[in-house]
Amino acid sequence: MKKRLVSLSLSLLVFSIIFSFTKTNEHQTYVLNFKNKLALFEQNEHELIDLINQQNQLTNSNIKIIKDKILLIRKNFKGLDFWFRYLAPLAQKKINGPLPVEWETEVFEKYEKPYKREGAGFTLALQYLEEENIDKTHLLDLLNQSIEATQIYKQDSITKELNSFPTFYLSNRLYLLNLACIYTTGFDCPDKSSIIPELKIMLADVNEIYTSFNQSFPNNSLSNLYLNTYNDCIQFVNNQPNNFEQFDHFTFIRDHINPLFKINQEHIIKNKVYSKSLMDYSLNKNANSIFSKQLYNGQNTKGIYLRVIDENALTEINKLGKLLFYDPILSGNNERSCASCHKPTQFFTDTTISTAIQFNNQNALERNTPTLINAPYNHLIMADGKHIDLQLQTKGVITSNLEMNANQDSVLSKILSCKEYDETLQKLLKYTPTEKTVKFDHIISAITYYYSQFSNYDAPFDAAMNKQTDIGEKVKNGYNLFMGKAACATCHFAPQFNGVKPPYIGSEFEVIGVPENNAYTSISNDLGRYLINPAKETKNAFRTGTIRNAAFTKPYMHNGVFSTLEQVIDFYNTGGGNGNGLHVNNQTLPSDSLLLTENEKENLILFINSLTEKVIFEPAPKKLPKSNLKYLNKRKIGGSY
Amino acid sequence: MKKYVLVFFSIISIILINCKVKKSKINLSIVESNKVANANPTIYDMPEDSLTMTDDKKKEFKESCDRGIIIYNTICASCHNKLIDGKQVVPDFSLPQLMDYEIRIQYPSHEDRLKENNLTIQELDDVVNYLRYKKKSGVHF
Repeated sequence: MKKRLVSLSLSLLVFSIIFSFTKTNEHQTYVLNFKNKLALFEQNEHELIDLINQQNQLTNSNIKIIKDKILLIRKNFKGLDFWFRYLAPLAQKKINGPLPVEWETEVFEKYEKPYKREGAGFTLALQYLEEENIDKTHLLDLLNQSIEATQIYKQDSITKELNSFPTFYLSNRLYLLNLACIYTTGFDCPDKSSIIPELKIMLADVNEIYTSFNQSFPNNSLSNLYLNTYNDCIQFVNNQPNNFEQFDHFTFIRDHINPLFKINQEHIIKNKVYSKSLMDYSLNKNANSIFSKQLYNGQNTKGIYLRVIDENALTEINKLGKLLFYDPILSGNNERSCASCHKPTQFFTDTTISTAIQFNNQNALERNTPTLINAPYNHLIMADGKHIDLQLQTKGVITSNLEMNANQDSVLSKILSCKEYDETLQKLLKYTPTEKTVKFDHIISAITYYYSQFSNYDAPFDAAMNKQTDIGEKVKNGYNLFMGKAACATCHFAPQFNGVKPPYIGSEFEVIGVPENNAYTSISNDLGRYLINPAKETKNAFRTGTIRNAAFTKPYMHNGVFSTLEQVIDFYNTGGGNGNGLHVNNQTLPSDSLLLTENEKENLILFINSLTEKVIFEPAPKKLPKSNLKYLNKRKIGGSY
Repeated sequence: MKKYVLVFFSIISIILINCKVKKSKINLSIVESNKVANANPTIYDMPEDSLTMTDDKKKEFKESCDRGIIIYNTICASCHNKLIDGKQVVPDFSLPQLMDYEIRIQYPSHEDRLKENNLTIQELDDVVNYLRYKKKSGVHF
């Protein structure tokens, strides 16, 4: 008996050892594909360093050789970017980092404070090589940091991730989002002539990744539908001209990338993929289109009422929020309401003035009233990104002495002096069990919930991208210009066309050199992001706003300096502040002209018009709740100024 | 042979003992969780730096823990509480299990329940404070 048991145990042991080896080798093709690509990339990186070290002087001819080598490495890098961006995004940025201003906001905004970090990598090295008097040490430093960052991808933790099929589908999702948002726009490729050739290489390299994945993970493989759609996509791009300005972005995204995204989302659901990465923090796995309001989770619009799902309660909160939105009881003098500046009939902004009037009813505020529509899709609120959520912003305006000049306690007691408000708030109190009494937070949460419902609408362009309707050729041309020649899409990313780019966990800032006035006598003296996070790169930097509804949300820019879209396009077409003779040392916008023709400008505006959402607005309430304090009952609906 | 029979029965008894410590099936509504919390005033261990804490800070800390237990009861207890001898027991979590926002993404079951639209940053801090400094129940999660 003993012998039998011993021999049984031994055979079990041998079997399990053999089995464990088989399991390790199971994903070999896919992992090997990664390791081979990485080895070739690293070899080229070292050759580049040797090449630079061999030069005694950096002359024009050897700079050309160095540039060519960097461009070659970028080609090796394209396929690897599929994994790099998802698995270790910070290392990826060291390898092919963005412009310095973006490093300032290199944070997970909900939890970390902005910090300063120096950029590195090929993009910056290529840009540096365009400058005069190149310092070899600085050039080597930019590139050596890339080599150092490459080592991160050789760690066991990365191999472990590669051996897990969920990571593949999540990396693929990010890859598809980036194909729709950055890979075709020159966002990470300053040499415009390389954008489409690099895209072709990337698509082919990722096809190899797909093949190796399917060999290694037969039980969780990509479907034939996906692979066929992807092959059609490759064919489409291969038939496109290499000239970036002639690339058909509209068809590429509508007919190829968006359908691929939908299938990948279906794979995510079918394979029960879940994420352990911050890269997926905001993304919604139930969204079946990139052009959907469900693509990523924006702000918590319900505030303190966040877990309320009872429809009747939500209706009550909505009604309460509407009354409060129009009620000047929120201001220090009971004469100003949210609707004083965010006019619901004007897309919740004020289209009649550059900047709204201050509380003192004399001076103007420094900044233009932003539309509240789509505000929930910003990660940071205000033009300088001062607030991380909608409720803090609302609180900030009510208590600002320049705007509503009230204090929280007094507003709360005034509101509770109105029987209707008091009864509703007390009734809703049971939905916020951590609070024993009604607080200011209940009030501002009802307001943010109320106005956020107007962000739930789509635009004709969304319908076109989702193949629900066709859209005119001029709009398509306008979109192609937006993504290409006009260079708008390097800062305004789909689907919101604001500064929130995949994976949608942070807002970007830009320095474009907005003038103080239409005569361009000086740059606006508003320091923008610098007021929140002082660094030389953030001086005059502002959060990139949405293009959606721009046709109805004039005036434009943080100070409302431009009153027409034509003026805005002319500003960009002529190179922003620098291009118009202002000296903006840290401008992130190219200062040369975009050379847009009148016809192109017109198409661009038609595209922007197609982003006007079919918002259904509501009339103002007929009356405001009565207070037991007589002096409060004189207040006007919406305020008096 | 007797030895193997003994081993077999030992394994069965361990399984049976473990079955006694099983997940709670309760799922409190927002309103019910409020009642539970009010009925069970909790005393907390103070944080390591409590000696240097001002009275206001101590009050703030206790309020945070008080909110934490309510939120825990609302959205965590149904999966995490153990039912031992017919009583609901809040298990003890280790520090790595209470890693700030990483809690949101480290476990598949948290994917929907702990997303930001269901639990704010402040509330997450409150729950972590409560679980970290509550009196230990001796039942490990």
